[in-house]
Formats: sequence, C-alpha cells, structure tokens
Amino acid sequence: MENKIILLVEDNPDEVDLTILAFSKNNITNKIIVAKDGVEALDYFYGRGMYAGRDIKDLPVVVLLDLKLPRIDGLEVLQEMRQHELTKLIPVVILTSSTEEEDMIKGYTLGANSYVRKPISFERFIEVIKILGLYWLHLNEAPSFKTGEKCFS
Amino acid sequence: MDTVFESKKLYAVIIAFIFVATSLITFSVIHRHYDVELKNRITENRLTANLLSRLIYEHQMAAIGILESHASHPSFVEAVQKKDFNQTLSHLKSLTKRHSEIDVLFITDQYGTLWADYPVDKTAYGTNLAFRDWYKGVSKNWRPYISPIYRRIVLEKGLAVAISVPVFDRKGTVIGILSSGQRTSFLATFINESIVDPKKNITLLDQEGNIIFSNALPYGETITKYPDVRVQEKAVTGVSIDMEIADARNKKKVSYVSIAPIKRIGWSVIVGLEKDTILQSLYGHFIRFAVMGFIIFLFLTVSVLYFRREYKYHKTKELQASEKKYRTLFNESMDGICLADAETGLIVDCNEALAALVCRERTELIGQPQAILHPPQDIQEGFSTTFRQHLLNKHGQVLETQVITRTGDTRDVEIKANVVVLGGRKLLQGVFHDISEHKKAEEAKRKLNEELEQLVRERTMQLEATNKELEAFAYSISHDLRAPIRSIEGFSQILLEDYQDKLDDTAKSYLDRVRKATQHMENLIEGLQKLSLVTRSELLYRSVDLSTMVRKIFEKLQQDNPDRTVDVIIQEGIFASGDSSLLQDALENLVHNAWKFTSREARPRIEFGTIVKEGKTVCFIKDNGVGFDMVYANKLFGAFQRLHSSREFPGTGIGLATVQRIINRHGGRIWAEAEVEKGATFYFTLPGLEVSRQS
Repeated sequence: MENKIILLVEDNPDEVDLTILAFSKNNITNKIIVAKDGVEALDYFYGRGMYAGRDIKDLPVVVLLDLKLPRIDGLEVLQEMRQHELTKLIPVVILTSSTEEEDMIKGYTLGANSYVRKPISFERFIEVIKILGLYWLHLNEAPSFKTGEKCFS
Repeated sequence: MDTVFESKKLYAVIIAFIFVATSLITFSVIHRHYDVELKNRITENRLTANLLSRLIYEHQMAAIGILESHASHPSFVEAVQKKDFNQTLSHLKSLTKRHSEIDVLFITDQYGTLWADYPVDKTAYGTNLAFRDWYKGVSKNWRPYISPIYRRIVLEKGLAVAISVPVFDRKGTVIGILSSGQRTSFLATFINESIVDPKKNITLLDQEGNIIFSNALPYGETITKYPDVRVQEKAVTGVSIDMEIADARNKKKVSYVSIAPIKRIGWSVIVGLEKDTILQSLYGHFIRFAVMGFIIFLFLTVSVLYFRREYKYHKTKELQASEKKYRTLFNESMDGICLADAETGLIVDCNEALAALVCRERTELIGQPQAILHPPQDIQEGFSTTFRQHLLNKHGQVLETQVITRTGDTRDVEIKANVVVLGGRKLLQGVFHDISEHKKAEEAKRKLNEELEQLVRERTMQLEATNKELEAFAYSISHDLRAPIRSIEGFSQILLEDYQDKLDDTAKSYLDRVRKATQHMENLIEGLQKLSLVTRSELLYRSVDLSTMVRKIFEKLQQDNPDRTVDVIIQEGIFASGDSSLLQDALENLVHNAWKFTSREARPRIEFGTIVKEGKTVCFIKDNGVGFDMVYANKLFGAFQRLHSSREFPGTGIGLATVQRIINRHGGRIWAEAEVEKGATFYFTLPGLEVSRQS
C-alpha cells in the first residue's frame, strides 16, 4: 500500500507543505509526487521534460488537483488526462479553496471523481486529508495499469 | 359686394314705390278735386237754369201783363166790341209806341178772323187764323198763351213767338183775341244781359223743343230742334233734370246739362257745360297738384338716395375698417394663408407668409394653380390631395402634408381649410402652418433620445461589465485570500502543536491571536462571497413560507445556544414569492442579528410578523435589544459598516448589506427603526407578501 503514488498538483509551496504535513499527521506515508503546475503534471504522466525517461506505466493511485495553476490550469490538465488513453481512468480529486459552483460543474463534466473544498482551519484540513486517504488509498478500487493496458489492447 | 349689389335693387324698388305712391295720391287728389268741381259745376248749372227759367217766366208774364191790361181797357174793349177799326188802330199804335218790344199787333174776332193789325196790312183782313197755334192755345181755355216759335213773314223777317190774350166784354164774353209777335232777338238780348258766366251754354227751347235762343248752338235761319233727342224729350215733357250728354257728331265731347222748365209757358231753359271746359278750367289745378306730387316724389327720392349714400358711406367705412383689420391679420399672420378658386384651383390671393413658406413672391403665386405649392407626388389631376380632401369632406380639419419651395425643397405643413363664398365665387381658404421646424425638432429630440438611450445602454453595459468585474474581483480576492490565510492558520497550528515545548506562553498567546484573526478573516471572506453570490446568482421564484423558515432558524439557534431563553413570537402563515435560499440567507441574517443584540437583555423578546403600512403589507422583525441611534441608520446597510464594536457584539458588517441586496433583488425594500437600548425593528416588503388566513 505504501508504494501507491499520490500526485499532488499544487503551485503554492505553503499548500504543498501543509498537505504533506496533513498526510504525515495522519500517518499516511505513501510517496507524494508534487507537480508545481499543469505542464509538470502532464510531463509526469507522459514522461516528458524533467520526467523524461520515467516509466510512464507507473501511474499515481489518485491525483489531488488544484484548479488555479500557472501555465496550464487544473481543468485543462483534467481535460487532457481524460482524452488520453493512459490517464483517462486515473481517479482525480479536485482539491481546491474555490467555492465557485461553475468550477465544480466543469470539473465533474470533464471527468473528476471528486470535488473537495479545502477548509481554512488546519485542524479540519487534517480531518479532510484523513478521510481522503482512507477512501482513495484503502477503500476505493482503482483500475491497475494492467487493467488499463488490457482495456487499451 | 353682395349687399351693395342687392341694396341697389332695393333702392330702385323703394324709389319706384315712392313714384307709384305719389302718383296714386296725386291722381286721387286730382280725381277727387275733379269730382267736387264737377258737382259744383252741375249745381251751378242747375242754379243758373232755375234762375233763368224764373227770369224768363217773369219777363214773359210781364209781356202778357202789358197785353192783358190793354185788352181790358174799357175804351179798347168798346172799340173791339164795335169793331171800330180806327179806334182800335189808335190803341194798337199807342201800345207799340209805349213798348218797344211790341212791334207787331193784330186783332181777330173770337173765331180767329183777322180784322185789324198794326202796322196796317189790310190785305189779310178777313182771313181766318183759327188754324194757327196761338189761336188754338188761347181758345183752349181763353187764357193768355205764348206760342212756339214761328217764322215771321211780315216786317222784319226772322223767328218770333206770339203772345196772345183774349179780349172780354163787360159780361166776360170773349169778343176777340189780341196777339203780338215777339221777336226772339228781344229774348236773346234779355238772356244775354242776364248771363253771369259766358262759358255756360244756355239754350231756351219752346214747348216743341225748338231753339228759341242759344249761345252755343246754331239757330236762327230756320226753326231748329235741340240736337239731343233725350234732352228734347225731357224739355218737351217739362221735367227738371240734370243730364250727361254726348255730342251727336263727336261722342267723346261730353257735356253736363241741367234742364229747367218754365212754368205755365211750357218752355225750358237748358244750361250746359262741356266736360272739356271743366277740365280746361281745372288744368291749372291739375298741373299744380302734379307738380306738387312730383316735388314730393323728388324730395323723397333725394332723401332715400341721400340716406343710401350715407348708409353706403358708413358701411364702406365699416367695411374698410374690417377689411383693414382682416388685411392686417391676413398680412401679419405667422401662418401662410391662401385663397384659391374652388373650381379652377387658381390662387386668388395669398399673404407674404405663404410666399415666404415656398420661397416665392406673392405676385408670382397669384393667378397660379394651387398645385404649384405642393410636391409632384401630392398632385392628382391638377389639384393637391389636401385641396381635394378639404373641398370634398374635410373642410375645417387640419391635414398634414408638404409644400415645395421654388428651389424644390419640401417643408412639412399642417393645413386647415374652409370653403368661403366671396362675390358669388366659391373659394377655398387654407391656413398653412409650418411644422417642418417642429418636425425637425422632434426628429432631433428623437435622435437625441435614441443617442441617450444608446449611451445609457452602453453605460449600463459598461456598468454591468464593471459590476461583474468587481464581483469577479471580489470573488477572486476572497478566493485568493483563502490560500494565504490557510497558510497562516495551518502553520500557526503546526507551531502550536509540534513546537509547544519550544514556545513560551506569550508566544503561544500571540499565535492564538494570529489564529483568531485568521478565523475572523475567513468569516469576512465568506460574507463577501455570499454578498457577491446574491448579485450573481439567478433568482428562482416560488412561494416561500417565511413563518416556518423563521421558526426553523430560531430552533437551530436555540439548539446551538441552549443556555439562552428568548421570548420568540412568530405570526403564522406569512408567505412571499421569492428565491427560497436567498430569502433563507436574508432571514437568517436578520434573526441572528436580533438574537445577537438581545443577548444582554434580561427578558429578550423577538417578534416576527406583518403590519399594514400605507395600504401595503409589510414584514417586520422586532427585538427589544440594544437598538441603535437613528442618526446612523443610513450606514446600517453598507458593507463593512458596523454600529457596534466587535468587542461588544462580534460581526463582519456584511450581513445587513447582504439582506438589503437580497430584498432589493426581489424588488422589495428594507428599512429599520430603532432607539438606543430600546430595541430595533427591521421592516421589509417582498413581492407577493401575504398572510394566509388558514394559519
């Protein structure tokens, strides 16, 4: 279970640290890969740029996606992922401070699996992360790469 | 012109009438005068006739008297008795000497046998004269007798009458007849001496109708009968009468005659006067009357003509004044006025204003067809459409059309036209009111309005865009603010939790304050987000049960604050039409406010209900809390405006701003009344606000 990768797409280093802290407070020790913007996230998926040569079959078990990102924003990343065979089934949780309903609707329309609002209170955020970890890392069954490949072939 | 024309006729009639009237009066006066005159003349004739009859009678009686007195003389009687010729002759001689009228005398015996005469003519002695008229007349009763005229054959020849008397002896026995011949010339002299008026025709007739004397009729050579048979008849029968007779030869020659018989003798006097003579004598009078009548006629005619001239002069002056007034009106009128012949459409007259309207000269227009005033598309069969319409069925109405100027520009006009009759000519008088400026102004106004509307639309769009931008800005700010707050909050929490042992109490309390500040900021951000949502979100109208909504809010509050006891009074059945979630927000804010500001009251009381103000149902939430000073009431609904310090009553200052936006978006109104320490009442209206009777 620990080898399951979590991809955190977040440009704010504070948020990154707080999220990682919140995971550690919940004793979730999975590897967390951080992409600082949409480009990095897509590079990671498709083994490009700084991730060139990476085994692209090694896919994250869940993607925690912020919406407001430099260069390519969260919804564009999601759209790209869902159009791509390799990434179209990866669970995506939109983790954002946005309360905009439009964003939520767009997110779901583009194929997001969940939409979670980050509370301001850190205590409550720890709770949110705990639930997310429990659900997506333990409870939820995600299709494996092989399954994906099978489907693909 | 009509009236003058007619009055000419009228005056001619008046003058003719005066002429006829004066003529009739003059004629009747003359006629009456003639009648009176005629009567007078006839009376005169009668008097003259009677007088002459009397005079002749006396005269003849006197002649008889002379003979009788001689015939009764004793010596003469004795001489006759004895037939003493010489004696008798001397008597006859002396008789003729004493009486010049007697020039012939003769004596017969009682059988009519002549035996003596004077002048002596013995050849006839012994001749019986009993066949003679005079013998018959005397011997009838043996009374004196005057014979009709006869032609005398002795002495002076000529007409004469015989006057005969019987001679009686002492015993009264007839012994002879004394007869004298009387020449009519004697009578004529006598009558001529007696005539007063020589114009009168006087005729003396004997008992057989023969003329003895006449100053008018021919007679003398032979014995002549009176020419008029009727008069002759009347005279012979001895009737006294007045008659009108016509001349035998000339029927038109009429005379008036009066017949007067002479008693005992059987003669008649006829006095006549020719009508012509009467008329001639009256001509002077007639002429005087006629002249007078003519003078009266002239006087009246002149008076009438003078009156007419005065009247006309007056009338003309009046007309001139009125004409001047009309001219002034006509010329000075701001509107164009055009008089055109209804039949031909030719312009009879127009004013300067009309000429100016079409940029032409008046003289240029007069005599032209009225179609010259209008653009070609308005002309049909030589007349403008409005001219036709005005003439046919729209006289007196204002019609809108166009006129064309010399240069071909058109102008919008309103024309009001009426049919007038001047001098027997049917004309159409049109008043042209230039509305092109008005139209231009209207057009300009319309354009300006359009431009303004466009500007308003643009501004509104700009404002809406700006508003949206602002909303978006507020939203994104509130969104973007969350991240740093989260960082501050998160890291202070981590510091407090993970570095407890390294921090002293002061540091910990500072971190606490940092965390409280971030919490307040979160509230602010949420408030701002809600506020912007109110404006951004679509309204979903439905019937909302406000009473239930308020009760649930209170229930929730009571649950969250179990230690508080608040007297809550809710009027049931208050419904409004609106967006349920927004109204929920609004009511929550209001109820929370009331709950908050009554927290220090000993007996807090909050009331929700409706009242009717100025005929409208108004909702209210009333509390008996701290209230506020009405001086600051205008700041109540501004965002971030607070009337109480956050130390006294925590709050963001966004709640009431949100409430107001919600109510306003629904088309309602919100206001508050309050007094410091006596509570506050918030009133609001909403569409479809009503109280259900069932509850």
